[in-house]
Amino acid sequence: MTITITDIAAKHVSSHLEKRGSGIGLRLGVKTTGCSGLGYVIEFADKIESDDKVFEQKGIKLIVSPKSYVYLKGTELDFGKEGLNEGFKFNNPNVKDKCGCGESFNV
Amino acid sequence: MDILKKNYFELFGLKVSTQLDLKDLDEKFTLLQKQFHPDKYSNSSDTEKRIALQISSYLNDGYITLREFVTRVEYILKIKDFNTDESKTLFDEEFLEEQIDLNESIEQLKINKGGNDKVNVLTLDLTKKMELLVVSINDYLSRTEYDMVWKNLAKYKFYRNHLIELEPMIK
Amino acid sequence: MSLLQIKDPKTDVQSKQRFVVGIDFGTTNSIVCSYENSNFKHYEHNGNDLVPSSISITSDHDVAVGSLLNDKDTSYYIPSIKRFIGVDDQQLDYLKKYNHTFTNKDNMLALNVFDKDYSVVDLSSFIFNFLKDLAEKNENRSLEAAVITVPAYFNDFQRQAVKNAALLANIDVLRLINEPTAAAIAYGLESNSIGKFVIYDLGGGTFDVSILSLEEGIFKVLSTDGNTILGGDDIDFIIANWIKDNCKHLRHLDLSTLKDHAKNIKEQFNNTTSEINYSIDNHDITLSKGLFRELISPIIDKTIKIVKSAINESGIDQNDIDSFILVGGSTRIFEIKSRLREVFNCNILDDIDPDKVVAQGAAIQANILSGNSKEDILLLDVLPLSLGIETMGNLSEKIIPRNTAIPIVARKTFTTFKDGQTKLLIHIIQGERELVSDCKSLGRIILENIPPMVAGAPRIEVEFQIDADGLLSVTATEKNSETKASAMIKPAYGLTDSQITKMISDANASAEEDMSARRLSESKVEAERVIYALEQALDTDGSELLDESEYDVITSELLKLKEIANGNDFMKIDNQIKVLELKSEFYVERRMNRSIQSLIAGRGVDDVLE
Repeated sequence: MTITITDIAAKHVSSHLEKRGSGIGLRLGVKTTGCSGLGYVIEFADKIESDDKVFEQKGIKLIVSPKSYVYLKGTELDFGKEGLNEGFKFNNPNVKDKCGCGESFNV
Repeated sequence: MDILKKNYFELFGLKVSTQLDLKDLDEKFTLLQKQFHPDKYSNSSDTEKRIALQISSYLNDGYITLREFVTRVEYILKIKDFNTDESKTLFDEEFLEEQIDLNESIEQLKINKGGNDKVNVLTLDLTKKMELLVVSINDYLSRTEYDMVWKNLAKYKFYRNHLIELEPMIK
Repeated sequence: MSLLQIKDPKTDVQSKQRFVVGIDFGTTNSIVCSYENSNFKHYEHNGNDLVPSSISITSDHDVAVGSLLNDKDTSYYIPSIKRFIGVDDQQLDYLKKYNHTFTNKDNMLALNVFDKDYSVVDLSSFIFNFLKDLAEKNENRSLEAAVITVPAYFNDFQRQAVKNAALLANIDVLRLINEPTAAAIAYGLESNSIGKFVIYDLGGGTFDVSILSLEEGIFKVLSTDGNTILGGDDIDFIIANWIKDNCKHLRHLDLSTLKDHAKNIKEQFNNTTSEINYSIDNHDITLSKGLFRELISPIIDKTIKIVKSAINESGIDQNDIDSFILVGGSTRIFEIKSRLREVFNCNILDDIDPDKVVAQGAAIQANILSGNSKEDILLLDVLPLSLGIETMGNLSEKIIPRNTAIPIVARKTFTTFKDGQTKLLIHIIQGERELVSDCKSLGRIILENIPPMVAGAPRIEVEFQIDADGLLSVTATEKNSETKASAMIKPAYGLTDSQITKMISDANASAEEDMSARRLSESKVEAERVIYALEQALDTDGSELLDESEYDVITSELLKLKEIANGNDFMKIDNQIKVLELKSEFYVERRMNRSIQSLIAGRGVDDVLE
């Protein structure tokens, strides 16, 4: 199973990367947080570790560590707006329930 | 502080002039506030906080002063060391009579509501007079005749106040 | 699903996340909230993140806050404490509505409860203490600082009271920000929206409106207006009075009971209800939508009038307004939204919970000011009410007009009118009215130690500084005398710094040991921060801006601080921090001067007329 990215998210990622001036792609991961378990992490990646999984899509390298991949496989990275705010969203088929704050999820 | 000794034109890197590109002023102001606003120093030492507060206050005052034509010209007179004491009066009989007449016609217009055409004519007339004054203010400034600059500016302010009075009457 | 932002591991490495919060101290409810990694955390008490701004006090003077109230029958109950902040002699009528015994303590309004006086600052500090505990217990660490919101239309006196109350609760106040501005941050952050916005903030007890222009991370307040005694409570009172007048069987009920019912009725109306049937003590009441609209319309009209005046002051055209942002629980009333759409014909933003949006904005700003976030946004706010001084004949002379961008400084020169006069009294006031008696008196300042000279000879320059919190401080200098001694300033209102310090230390007398441990750790953190900042600076441009001996002086003091910071004496650490700051002051100035040069570089600074 792969990890995918929507067109609009890809557009925003490339403009962020361009603005930053360096970086080879985007690292996606999970962390423990919030009230019900795991939360997502997105950060710029400057290197790829030997055991990382790399998914190249629409010109963007999505880099995931094997540990995180267990929780993220099949996920689509999307971009959306709420009110005047905008940001990235994970459409993750593995999620069973989300907590109220929307920060964390269980699988 | 060196910054606080700069005049407002120097502060924003602008030429001393009555005619400013307001967009340029806006951009400079924003750029400098982004650097010096106290919010950017909330984790800094007390010294830095104090300096930032002084600079940011100075920037705000400079921005307010340069943004409006009247305060801008007054400020130019100030940096040319021309005394703009408020107690100075205009000795100009003709102008005084005109002012009295203007006051009367505006009072009339206020009472006779609906004199739309007259309001528009008067507004146009005042606007033209102010435009002419701007030209002569610039002219006197370039010849460093500051007393004449001040006199014309005083007249400009009279007309401007009349315009402000007329504004609510324009439909 | 919350929206996420890309983090940069490069910039994350250095920063230590500080525990900071935003506090919305509201009339009806208060909220404490933090913002980390693009997520808000509202600290809940008994499953509710709205903490009622209510206090109950027992006859033994045990104080309880929020939903944890003492037994209602035996204790004294004070709801909506914020209503009383800043109420003064001119508004005594307003106080009559409330059945409290009002007195005076520390030059402030106080309530007498079981033979003890509690000032409004004392009472407010109980709420801040409660909110601080709530956040600390949840995070299991001590709170480092907070951004606190105040109604935009609060005057200096009211702002100072809120800040003092927070300080009294041992909260380090990063900044006071205006409630509508906070709401704008919550809506506008991380968006590239640009445009002009009206923030319409109708809370339980106050109404505020701000006109903002938003572009590329700059939140510029153009004007602000409001009424500090107009809110949802007034709507409840109107409906309660209507019940009283129209239902004979319910006349025996007191107004505050009826007001609670009125609130329930109000909240049941939505866009589809045509009438509400409600029962009190088995008596049915019917209120039609039309009548409801008619009853509350005077309140809405008042707010619309204020909005129009604020738009007028902002200098922009009503047609250029892009959206209305709705804030405050009372904006849930459907009628308000439809009236605003009807009158202003514009888009309405209300998708963030109107009760929480202010606290969220404050939390975002706290995160930025604490350095946790590198977000590049800047708030440029304004002074809500003109600042003036009393001149001859009970007239007000404006020194700083309202809606002036802050921080701002204004200077005015005074002189004496009698030979040998050594004292001068300046009466500082705030407000728009011509007569001093119609404005709020902020206090009288006495300039002392003026060198005796002939009348009119001394030139005493008084500086009125409004800081980024919107708070006033005043300093005075005599310019002509050789000594150039600064005149003494006596604050005539609120609390002085030393009073606050004393009150804090009294409150903490029992926990002195804890305090010194806390002080030590605070001093160490501060030393660490100073060292880090200075080393960074020296690294960047130290060799460029300093000659060898200057460089040596700074680095040797820096080394000294490093040594002392390893010890356990916080006084010594604090001292050495001061020494280092003093000795590197010129360097800081040089750096700032240089940064302004580089910002305007490329422009001919040419003193020639075009």
